[in-house]
Amino acid sequence: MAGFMPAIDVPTAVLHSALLYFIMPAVTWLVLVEQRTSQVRLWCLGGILIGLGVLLYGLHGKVPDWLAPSAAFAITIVGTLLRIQSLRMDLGIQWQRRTPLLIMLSVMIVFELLNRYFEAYVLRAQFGALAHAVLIFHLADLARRIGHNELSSSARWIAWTYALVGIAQIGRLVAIPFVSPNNPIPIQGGISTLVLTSTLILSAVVSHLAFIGLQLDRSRQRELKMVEQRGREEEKRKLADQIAHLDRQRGLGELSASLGHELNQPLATILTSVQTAKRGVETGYFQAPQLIELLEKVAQNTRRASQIIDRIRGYIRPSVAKAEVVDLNAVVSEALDLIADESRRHNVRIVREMLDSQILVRGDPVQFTQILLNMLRNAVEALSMSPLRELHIEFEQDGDWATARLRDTGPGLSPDAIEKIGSPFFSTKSGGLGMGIVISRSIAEHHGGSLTILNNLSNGGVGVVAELKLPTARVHLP
Amino acid sequence: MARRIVTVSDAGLAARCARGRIVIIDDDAEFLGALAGLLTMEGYAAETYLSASAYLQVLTFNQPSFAGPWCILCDVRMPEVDGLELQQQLAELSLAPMILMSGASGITEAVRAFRGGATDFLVKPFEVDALLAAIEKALTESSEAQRKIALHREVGAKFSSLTSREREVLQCVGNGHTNIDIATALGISLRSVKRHRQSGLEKLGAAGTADLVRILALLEEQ
Repeated sequence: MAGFMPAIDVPTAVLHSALLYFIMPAVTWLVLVEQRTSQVRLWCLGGILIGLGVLLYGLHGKVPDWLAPSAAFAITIVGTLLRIQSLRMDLGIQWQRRTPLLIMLSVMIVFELLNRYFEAYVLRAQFGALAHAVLIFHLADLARRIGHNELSSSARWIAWTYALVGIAQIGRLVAIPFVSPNNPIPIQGGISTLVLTSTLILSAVVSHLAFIGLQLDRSRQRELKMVEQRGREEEKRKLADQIAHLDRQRGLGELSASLGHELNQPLATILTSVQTAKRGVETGYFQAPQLIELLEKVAQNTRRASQIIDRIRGYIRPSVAKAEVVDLNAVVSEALDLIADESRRHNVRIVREMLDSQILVRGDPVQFTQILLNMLRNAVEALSMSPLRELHIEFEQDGDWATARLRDTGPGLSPDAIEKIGSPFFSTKSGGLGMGIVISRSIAEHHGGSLTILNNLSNGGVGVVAELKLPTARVHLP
Repeated sequence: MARRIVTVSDAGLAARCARGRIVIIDDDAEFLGALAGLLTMEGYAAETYLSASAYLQVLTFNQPSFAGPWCILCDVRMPEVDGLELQQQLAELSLAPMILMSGASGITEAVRAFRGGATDFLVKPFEVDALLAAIEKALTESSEAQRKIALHREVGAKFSSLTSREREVLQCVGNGHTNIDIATALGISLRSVKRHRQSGLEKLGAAGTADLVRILALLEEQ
């Protein structure tokens, strides 16, 4: 058998496969410059160690015994273990520190026992082949599982090529006793070693290329997912803006009765004044001064009416949210304007903290007005049956956060309400949709803030405290 | 909060009140002023209040006022006591006719207003002509009511001036009995019956039996 292939020098072939196991891991390491995870590190390091071990195997007989086969065996085992750990990490089933150490130790002990103590060289070689085969089959199986989980053909290539190596090792295990029963350097044996070397060379090329392919595949998938995610978030934001818009529309519908009433007041004054003026002039009752007074009244009330309409128009502006620097104080004023008629009708007294400076936040002023209007309306409703009807509005600013706080003197929240407030479709109003607080809260959170509604527990207080907290903007309005 | 505007000097006030006194209640100060100006121009006496409670307070202190028909023009939607509540409270005092106004055209409000006895319901912004027509109607009602009250008082006084005998006789005459029946029933002479009847009718200022029946009916009403 040995003379059958005089042209192929097996030790040289072994050395060449070792060389490849130096080059390919190095190349892999360089190519995967952007994906140098610990798995990649382990894989490449393992590869280099395998290369070193195979190199030493090739020098068996020309170097001291402790280097080959003992060190060679140990180093290749370690290299294979490192690769196994790399794939295990990918699957999430990595070994604890001691498992590979234990394996190493036990395998080495048996090997050395066979080697020095019993001097059973053939058995030693067979044991070595067996140990390698087991580990390599395990490696192949791990690669197969990764290929199955991630639907990756690259991983399957790794599996196949190492399966071949494993088979070659089994082949060698079987052949050794026949080829060189008494040879302490079984590496010189013929076909089986050649086959093993060939599969090693194949595995050097295929496994590293496939490994690179696997990493690149994964990175591409990750990017795709990020783009998808960003697209979804953009959609979610648009939807939230739309919902806020619809809620404003509905809120405006509910307010429209009050706003209509408010609008009719200046109109009635205008009509009466104009008709009075006409009559006065016809009868000669009015002279120029009184006429001018009436006309001035008409002008003033026209302005009053258009202000009310402006308020409505400003509030119902379409759904595209703006990001501006907004004065929270001004927002509160707007909301108070919108609710002026309703609060007057329910005879609610509004006590508002006067501020000497602006409180600046960043976001959509109309959406902020929406939140405050919701808070105010809830408070006014809560006070509808109370003997004392007061609403206290306070502001707070501490560096990063701006807070607008609403305290009412109402009956407070029932334990049931405390639990459910802010859940969709929970409402204490008959005919209420129950979405007001949900939407307000989501707007606040969208802007990086919060909306909290609790019973007032300070100073033996009564009623509810509603707090809108928003991150401050760091710019000064002109 | 009460704000009462005396729009002319007291000398002319009496004349205005004779034409008609209108109490205007609305929580919108501007509109209140506009109405007062208009009604003053038309020759009425306008009294303005910013809230129903302000008006009720004034009522209890029993402001002296000049004689003449009057009515109340009140907004429905106001804080605290709104127009409909005021209507109910005043109904107990059976005071002047009420015209209610509203900036919102609520049907239920209008129905309640009319059921509560309002003379009219105006929706803002309303035409001045419509307002003046409603006021005329209300003042006419007020004059009628005042006239009726005065008449009743007058008749009542006259009735109390009757002697008991005269009263008995007239009651029977009013029930349709003949003089002879009355004489028999009361046990007095026919001539006495005729005498009592004559003096009684004179005192009451009734021309004949028909008049008497009317007067008795009027007295029964109250």
